Amino acid sequence: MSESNVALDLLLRAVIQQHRSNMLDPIADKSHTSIFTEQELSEIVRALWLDRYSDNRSNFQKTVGALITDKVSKA
Amino acid sequence: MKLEKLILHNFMAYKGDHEIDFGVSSHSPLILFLGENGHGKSTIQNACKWCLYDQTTEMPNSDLINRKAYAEQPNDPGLSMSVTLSWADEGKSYELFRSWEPNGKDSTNSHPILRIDGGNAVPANSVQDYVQRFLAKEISHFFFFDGETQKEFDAMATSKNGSGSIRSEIEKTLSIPVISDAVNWFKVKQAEESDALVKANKQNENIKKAGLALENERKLRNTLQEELNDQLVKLSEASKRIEAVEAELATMQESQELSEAIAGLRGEKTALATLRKEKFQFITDALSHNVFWAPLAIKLSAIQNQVVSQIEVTQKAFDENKEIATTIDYLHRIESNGFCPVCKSDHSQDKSKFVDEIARLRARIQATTQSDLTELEDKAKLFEQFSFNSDLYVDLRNIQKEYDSLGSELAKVENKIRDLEIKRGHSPSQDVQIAVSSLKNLMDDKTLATRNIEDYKENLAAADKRISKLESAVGKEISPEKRIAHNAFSYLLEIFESSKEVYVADVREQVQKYSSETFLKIISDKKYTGLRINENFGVELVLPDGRTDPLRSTGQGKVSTISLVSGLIKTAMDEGFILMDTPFVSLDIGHRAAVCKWASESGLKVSLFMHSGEFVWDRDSHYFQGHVGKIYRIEKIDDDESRVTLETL
Amino acid sequence: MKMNESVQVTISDRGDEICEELKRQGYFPEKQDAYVYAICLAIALDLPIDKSITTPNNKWHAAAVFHAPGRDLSSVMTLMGIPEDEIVSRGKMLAEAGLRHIEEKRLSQADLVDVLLNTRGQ
Repeated sequence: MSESNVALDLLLRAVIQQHRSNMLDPIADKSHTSIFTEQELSEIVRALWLDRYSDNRSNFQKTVGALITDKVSKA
Repeated sequence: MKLEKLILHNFMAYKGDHEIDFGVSSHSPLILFLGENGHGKSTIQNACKWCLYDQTTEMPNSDLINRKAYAEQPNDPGLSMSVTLSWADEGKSYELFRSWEPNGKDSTNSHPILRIDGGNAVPANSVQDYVQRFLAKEISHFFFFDGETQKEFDAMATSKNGSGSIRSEIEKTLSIPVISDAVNWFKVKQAEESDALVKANKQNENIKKAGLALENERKLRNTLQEELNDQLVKLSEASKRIEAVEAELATMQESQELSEAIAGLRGEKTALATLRKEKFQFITDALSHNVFWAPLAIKLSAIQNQVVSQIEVTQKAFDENKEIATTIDYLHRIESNGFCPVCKSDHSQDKSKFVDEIARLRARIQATTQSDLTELEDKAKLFEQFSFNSDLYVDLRNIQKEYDSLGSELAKVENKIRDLEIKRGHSPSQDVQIAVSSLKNLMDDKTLATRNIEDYKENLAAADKRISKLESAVGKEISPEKRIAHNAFSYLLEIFESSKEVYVADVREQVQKYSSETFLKIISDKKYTGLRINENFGVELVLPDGRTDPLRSTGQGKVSTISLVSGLIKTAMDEGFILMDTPFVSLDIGHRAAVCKWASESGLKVSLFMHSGEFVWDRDSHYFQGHVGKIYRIEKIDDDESRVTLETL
Repeated sequence: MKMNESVQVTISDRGDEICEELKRQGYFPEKQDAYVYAICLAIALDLPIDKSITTPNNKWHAAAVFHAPGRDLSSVMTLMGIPEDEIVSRGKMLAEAGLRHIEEKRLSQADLVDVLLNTRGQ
């Protein structure tokens, strides 16, 4: 963890570890847990972090929207 | 975020341009701003805040402009007040210039201009977004640490529950509300997707029904199609048979015409044959009777001519002989008498002449006899026996030519008849009445089939429409995409919700860790092992046994504040800075020294604004252990003017 | 059937058949008319005669053939140089040759009127 943005690193760690835990959970719904990769989740967290002081968080929402749209289109 | 430069122009006490360079090395990160109260130390922070947020000390711009500068040229349109703040973040440099012109076009508002890496100004309406990104207003007083902040922290220090506003701002600094906002947004999106799924499920029921209906419609359509095909076949058959009957009728008519022509030709043929037969009869009659000699006609004609000629010649010869004989006889008489009765002359003396003449005449007598003549005449009579007449043969030959000509004509007529008969072919087996009746029935069949076909086509078109509608209804079955979107938002909600708790705990722990480190560096009372920051971000002192003590003194509060701010900044920002105004108030010497030491070693860019009551360079500089990078001296020139000067270390 | 076979039907019998056929086809009303004509044709064409074939005279209606009133064939034959005492005997052979010739032409689909009138021979 870098000291340059400790809070961001902590948030990333929390999200990724939760995700990994879900992936290992045998009773977790695989249709849910397999939707996003760790990289994509990181991307979402970073987008949220960059948008943390904006009024409408539009960039973050667009990032999430684009990722999901991509998955829908590939379905 | 790393502060780089601050330029003030006619801002508050600072008339004209005054520049502060925040650039220091990493092992001398401290900047000291030394000046007495009221000389303009706080103005430095105010200037930063005004530049960033267009607001400071709740004073209008007209009260912020340097009074002296204003007084000198109150109506000057070029008169302005401005602050320029430069900073760097993630490799980019930012320069924010805010100005206000009391005599400008818009003297109500200040005007910000933000440039990134020296480029064009960003749109004016997006300047605030940028500023918020780097140093949100809500958390700015952690970095511009002044008396107000201290009061709030003091209040927090005495309460286990912490201060509501400080807690809120700490949470903002740590972006905890941001995660909550994200969670809420995921909830909203999940709900939207759920609604869509519910609607889709309802739709599914309808779709199932539509599916059944579609199946039935397709069966019906197939039946209609089969029946239509049937009718088409009937129509085709009726049409073909109509064609055949019509062709037959046409053939009948043609046949009729041909038969008439043939009959005509046969009549002609009969006439010709009759005429030819008559000629034939004439010829055969002639051959059997009076022209039986026809094969010999030419020869006989020649013989006849020859006989006639011979008779003539013989007759002539015979007549000549007779004449000669008469003459000889006469001459004999003269010879014997010596007297010519004709000329009455005496020819007794020239008798020899008569002898010669008689000899000559005798020599002329031809050897022809009566029997020769008779023979020839008998021969000539033979022709009369069979009534030879060469003209008859000529006539017969003419009749033969006519006979032959009739034969040619007859042959032509027969050829014509044959050709027409071939053309006519087989005569139709049924008569016209039957054919016409059959045609009428077929036309009726055709009309009926045509009507049925139209009906079936109409019904098929209607069926196709219904099927199309049902197909598109069925096609709207819930697509997998909808589920993906719903599941995605559900998962993000789940993971961020659960991560938030973990994050809050982790980040609080981290803040606690950094704060404790700072606290232990500063606090002189070594009985405490650190700070504990509770869930409400209230601060407690940790005892070696793990128990906690509440904050009891302002000194402890101050140190806790500094520690907490330090911990927050280190946790929440890439490169933090803090401008602390009168940091040593309420601190004893030991703590001051500790604060100085902390400031030097914190890793933050710390700028301390102090007056001589708090700090005397010669006396206290050793506390900073050589980590002071710059000292700015702030001096009051007069009531309306101060200056800031960089001192040489 | 070869003309010189001794066991054949006599030529006059054959001649009778030919005459019957010609009569049937309408060329000559009676046999003797056909014989008369055949003789003339044979003389005109100078057809070769087979002298070995003989037919008794009583089979020949000599008068009807050679001396029919209004149709004096003997005069014709005399005019054509046939001695009077050979008229009947040579006449038989000439008739035979002439009939054979006519039959040959008839069988070869020749125009009999043309043949009878001897349009090509004259």
